[in-house]
Amino acid sequence: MTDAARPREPHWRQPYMKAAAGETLRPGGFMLTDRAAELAGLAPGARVLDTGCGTGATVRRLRSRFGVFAVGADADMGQLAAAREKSLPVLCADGERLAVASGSMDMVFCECVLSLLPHSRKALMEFLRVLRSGGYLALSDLYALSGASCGSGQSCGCAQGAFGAGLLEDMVREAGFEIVVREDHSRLLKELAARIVLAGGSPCGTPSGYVFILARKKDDRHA
Amino acid sequence: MDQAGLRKLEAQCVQEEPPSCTAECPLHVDARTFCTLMNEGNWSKAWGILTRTLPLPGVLSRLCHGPCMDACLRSKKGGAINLPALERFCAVQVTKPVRSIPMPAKGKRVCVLGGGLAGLSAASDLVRKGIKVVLHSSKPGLELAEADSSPLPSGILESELERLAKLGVDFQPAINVSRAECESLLEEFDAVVIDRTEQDIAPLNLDEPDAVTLGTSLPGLFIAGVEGEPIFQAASGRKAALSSERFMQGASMVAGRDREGSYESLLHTNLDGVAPVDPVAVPEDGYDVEQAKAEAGRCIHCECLECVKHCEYLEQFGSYPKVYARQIYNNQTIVMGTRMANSLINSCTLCGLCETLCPGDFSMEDLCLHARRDLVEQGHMPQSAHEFALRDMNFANGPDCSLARSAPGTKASTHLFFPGCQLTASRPDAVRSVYDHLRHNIPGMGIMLRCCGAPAEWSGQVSEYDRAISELRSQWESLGQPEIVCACPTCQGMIRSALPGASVSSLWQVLQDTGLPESAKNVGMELTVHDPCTARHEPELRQQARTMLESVGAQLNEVEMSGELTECCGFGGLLAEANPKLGSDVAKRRADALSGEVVTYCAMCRDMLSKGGARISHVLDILFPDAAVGDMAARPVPGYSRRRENRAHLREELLRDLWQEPGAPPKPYDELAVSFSDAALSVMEERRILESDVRKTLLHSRDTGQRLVHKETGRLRATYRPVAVTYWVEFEEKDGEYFVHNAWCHRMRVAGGAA
Amino acid sequence: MSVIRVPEADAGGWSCDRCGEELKPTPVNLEYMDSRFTVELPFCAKCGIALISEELAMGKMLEVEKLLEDK
Repeated sequence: MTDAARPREPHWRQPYMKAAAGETLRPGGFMLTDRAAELAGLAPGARVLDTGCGTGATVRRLRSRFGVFAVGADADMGQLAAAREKSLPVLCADGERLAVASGSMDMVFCECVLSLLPHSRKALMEFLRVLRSGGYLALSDLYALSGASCGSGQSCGCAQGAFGAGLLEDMVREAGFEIVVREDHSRLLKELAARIVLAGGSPCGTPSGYVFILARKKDDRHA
Repeated sequence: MDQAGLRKLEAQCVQEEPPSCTAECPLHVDARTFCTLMNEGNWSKAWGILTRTLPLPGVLSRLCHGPCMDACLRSKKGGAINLPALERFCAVQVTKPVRSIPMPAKGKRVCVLGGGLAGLSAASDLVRKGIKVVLHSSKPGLELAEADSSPLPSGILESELERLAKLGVDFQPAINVSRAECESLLEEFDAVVIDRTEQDIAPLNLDEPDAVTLGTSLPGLFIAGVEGEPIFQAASGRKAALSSERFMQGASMVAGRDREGSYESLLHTNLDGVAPVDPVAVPEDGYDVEQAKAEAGRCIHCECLECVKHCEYLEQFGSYPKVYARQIYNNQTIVMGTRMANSLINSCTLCGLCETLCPGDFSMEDLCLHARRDLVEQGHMPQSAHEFALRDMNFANGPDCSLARSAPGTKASTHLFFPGCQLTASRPDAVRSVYDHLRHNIPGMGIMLRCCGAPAEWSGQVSEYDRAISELRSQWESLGQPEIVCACPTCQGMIRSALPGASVSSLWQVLQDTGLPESAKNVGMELTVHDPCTARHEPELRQQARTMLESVGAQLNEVEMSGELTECCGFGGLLAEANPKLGSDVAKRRADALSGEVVTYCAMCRDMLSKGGARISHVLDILFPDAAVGDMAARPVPGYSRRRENRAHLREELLRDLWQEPGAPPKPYDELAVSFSDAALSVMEERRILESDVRKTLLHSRDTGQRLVHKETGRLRATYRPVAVTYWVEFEEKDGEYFVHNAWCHRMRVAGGAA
Repeated sequence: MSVIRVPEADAGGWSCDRCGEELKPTPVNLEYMDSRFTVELPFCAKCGIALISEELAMGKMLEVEKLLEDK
């Protein structure tokens, strides 16, 4: 296999990514995490799950800034080990099987992770399961700009699985959520691309946008 | 542009219209792609084209009589493509059975009475859409099924019927139905289709079926089947199948069916340059491989692309105007996120050639200009796209360059010489000579040095344009509203539309009337004319320039794309500013098309095409040559800094010589002793860094003492940000004299240390 | 957001001529079109001058400018 044909190592594993994106490895850093927590009125004592938590930066943020009982879940043992080193409560689980009791969570975060999962729709159903009724899902993700494809023809790990913006919303609704807030944050993605350039990487040429969705699990009593 | 506007615009571009063969075919076989694949010898893919469209491909490919041949454009160049012979060859090559994958079952059932080609085709279409069919026929295929009289090789019909049965057609014996029985069938089934070539419809007491839907007064009952060629029978069955499907879904029975049968395609195909080729004769037992490939190879592959063929810009973006219209519409309607089409919008030369060539008058110029105005209005225009050009315009209209005066010793002007800012930048000495000559012949000839506002117009900066024009207007009024004499076709057009009350004429006409200087007579050269794109719709202007050149003895040659079909030099629409690489590609392409000694009457065309490699003179290079330059057609193009200086110096010279007024005192940065390496001058030109920018940076460094030094080489670096761009200069200094080695710039602002 | 460290933080032999100080790698804010990036660059804290090399200006910075402009 030639170098050109070999799939590129995904961005989040590239050495320049830490320099460009910091610990969260996603557009905007904690900006959208904080925004979601505020919009959802996240109060101390709430039970929160961060899916695809990686080394646990968001778990730490939620616990320390919002006083919530946040736990993380990730399928990558290496990443989890780093989180455990910092004594952060994390569990090893796939997005589609969270190993958390049904209706036990007040809020679930899934930031820049969903489109990387092999079964995104299943994962959304699983988020719904673990949430109490009226609980919130904070979702942010890349979305594909219609008619555009990656100029390099390589798979870069992020944009390649992205859904169209409309499809992502439909999936959330179909899973049984109502959408409370939907905001376009493509500027954050562009800034991340700029940071990657400055840090010496080359951002994927796939034209993508970035969307933030806050959704609520419908109340059983009125359903 | 709204959705409706987009639709209208898209409809103007006919590139996506089907070729006339496909339009003529009642089943709309994609004969163009079929021929491509046949020519490549890719029989199985070619077969796929047929099976995608034909209801009974095995049968119809062998029975088709080729109505497409009547519409084939190749008939004007040797003879129509023999598609029936190609279809038969293809059908014989492919022995694998046709694989049809039906859509998921829809829970609907249709009863088909009669198994002629119409009934079978209807059944085939319906089962492929997941609709169950019960077909009553005593003899599916009728006479095709009779072994001794069938035009088909044996086994073909049988295997098609077998395939239909597998797909879910339930073949049942024929039944006779009365009207009452028919009504009860309609209750049992979701729709009923009758093939009248087998089933007698007289007992049903119905009028002729509706021409569009084949529907009857019994809703849900459709009557197919016609006399005539098999392909028309199949088309009739298909029509009935579509109607019954819509009936079952409760969808409109008539919407979008205007192109269901044969129709006239709007596709335009230019046959100039298509060499005639005779058809390949068909031997008794059909084509062989080479013959089939050769016959398919005669297909012209009808398409329009008239505009794309003559435009580097349209070609390089890889598509055609209909697609571009949608991309630009999407760009405009996007609320947040990335605007993908900015470069597309800003790279059009606005030259109008596409509109002139287009059979539907599609205008990329209008589309892109409006899109630019929208980008500016919404604050989304990339800052770097036109900023340099607008700065240049403001400089030309600023106190250092602009001048509006009546002739010395006069109070008002009867005429006003308007040379334009680019001629002034490129040949200031010629502007001076022309003005002296004009004043000698017309004493009331004033002069106005400034820009006509084209850069603002082209970049979509409506308010900047209005400002430039209102200044121009008030200066013109203060001179007594004289007749304006333009030396630049762009200026002439811009001024004519901005000052509708003004009388505007070309310098070439005025020179013709006043007579030319002795020095200009007897040119005796053979010259190829390049018309500027802004003269495209100005036949008089084009003629005036030619008449004048001929009157001084020049012999003129014309190129194919000239006059109203002329191609842009790459400067139009500020292409060279927004997309320098494409700008130089456009210039080179046009320069390559112009052979020998070229002449034009636009200063910017002259300079762009000269950079593109042409030996090219401006008309004034011929009438008023610069004695200091030997070969005018090869005179170097002044760089951006020199262009500015030329304008400023001409103004000073005129003020000093004609009005005895001292010029403005030199700027402090002009007093620095600065020289440049060749390498520095070259990168500065490429990076749009002016000598004055470098001088300002050096002055700032001298005044503040702020500069960096390299410990080994001793070289110095200074930086300065006058407005929106930060400049860096690497230089040496000796006794207050500066020698510049390099310069670079960036737009990002350094907001200071964050520590 | 975090400071972006780049190889261009090396002063490569350049120092401030006015005060004679060495240029030291320092976080510097770069701004363009409402976006701000903190990048470590050679900087004279006394005079407030940061070195932007030709490679940085015509390379990464130009790329970022185009990216933010949608050019």
